Amino acid sequence: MAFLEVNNLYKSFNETEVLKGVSFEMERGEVLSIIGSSGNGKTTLLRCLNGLEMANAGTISIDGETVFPADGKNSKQTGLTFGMVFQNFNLFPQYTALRNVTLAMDVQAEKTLGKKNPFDFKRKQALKELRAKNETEARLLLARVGLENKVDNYPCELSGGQQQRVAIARALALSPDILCFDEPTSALDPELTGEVLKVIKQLRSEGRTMIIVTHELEFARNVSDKIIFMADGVIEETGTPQELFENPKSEKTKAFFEKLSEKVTENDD
Amino acid sequence: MDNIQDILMELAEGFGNTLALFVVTLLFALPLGLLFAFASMSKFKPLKWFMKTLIWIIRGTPLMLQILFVSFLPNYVFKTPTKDLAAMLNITINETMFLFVALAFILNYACYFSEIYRAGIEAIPVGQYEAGQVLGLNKNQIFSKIVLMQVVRRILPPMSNEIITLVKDTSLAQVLGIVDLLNAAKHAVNHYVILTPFLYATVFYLLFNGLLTLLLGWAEKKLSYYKV
Repeated sequence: MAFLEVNNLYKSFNETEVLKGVSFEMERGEVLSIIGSSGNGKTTLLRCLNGLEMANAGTISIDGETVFPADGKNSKQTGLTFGMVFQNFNLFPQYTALRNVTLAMDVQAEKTLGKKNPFDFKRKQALKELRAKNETEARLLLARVGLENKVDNYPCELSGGQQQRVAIARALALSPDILCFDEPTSALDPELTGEVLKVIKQLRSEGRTMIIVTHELEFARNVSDKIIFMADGVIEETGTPQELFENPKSEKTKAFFEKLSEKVTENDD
Repeated sequence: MDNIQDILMELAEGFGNTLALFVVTLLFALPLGLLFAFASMSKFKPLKWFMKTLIWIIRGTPLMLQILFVSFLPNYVFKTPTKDLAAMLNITINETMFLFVALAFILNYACYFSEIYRAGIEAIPVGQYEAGQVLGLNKNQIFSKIVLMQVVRRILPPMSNEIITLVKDTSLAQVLGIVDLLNAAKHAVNHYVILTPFLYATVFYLLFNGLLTLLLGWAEKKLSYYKV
């Protein structure tokens, strides 16, 4: 049994079918990239995984435990099962980089301490200690993405690449089982994509389980254990980077790569 | 010229009532407006349409009419004359009148505030909610820890506008005989047969609104430490 098993996922918005039966699996520690043209369901698939969208049918299970459809008991855990890094960062603008990372940790800490009571000084003390611990941890996370000097800066004071690295630290804060990236470099200037990709590569070397929706084919090829090519709401082809890039079997996959190489030569002119 | 002191004392007393109405209205209308905003955005259709209708009525009619309406309500609908109501609540007739005015003001301003809140809430990008959701925050936590501060920041300029309008609207309280700043000035003008009390009242209004403008400007500056 694989670590993550996705079975026959269907999703439609009103009349439009976006996912038409998507199934795949991945193991712990693997890096899976999802590629394909825009509008073919890549992002929707990711959003169905982390609970931002509800699939209409299908199942998702982690480590043998069904997380979708949720039975109420484990529905809250989905957010922590999957970490998410958005295309547009979605940092909280009113908080510093550090607070962006600690916010969810502190909320979790409060949850573990149970009900609030203004006269419960023991709880207050415990919360204070947990918060201090969270802050230390958050500083380490920010250091790991190379932002130890930016902890007290607000998102508006950071470059796009730095903001996305804060977002990665924020997603790591709850130590999710699987870290998802939704086109993490698409909103960045070309010269800033490198720093974000470097962080993702570093995470890979630490053995993180990751799912990356991306248009950076070269990057996907270098970093992935497995690549999924999506077309028209289904998985058209799955394989190792080598299989997919050097020896695509499906006509659609071939066409996709050909179209892209044409674009590259056009740009070269 | 001995009158000046008397006149100023009378105006100060009137200003006291103006200030009381201003503070009471803000104190209740600010939270009530947020509640109204949630109601007008509710997914429960009947509540949503009830709220939209109320906002339409309140914004579509003069505040003065609403004050009169509230004051007639106990007598005509509940068959309780104002003096009986005053006795029931154990307050003076004047205080009962102030209560009527305050109720009308709170309802009126809550409706205007609710539209400002709604605009502010709807302007927050959906990505902020999603970021909170994938971090395991529930709806209340997302609103209180992520959205609210951003809303406050966005709505402060239009709120300031309404708050300054409120200062001047308090003069409508005189339809129920409340001696507010302008009413006190009018009394003085009639009593001493001079026009200067109006000038003094003008200075009172300007000073108070000047102070408010500074205060709200300071708050705005305080909140603009980040860009949205």
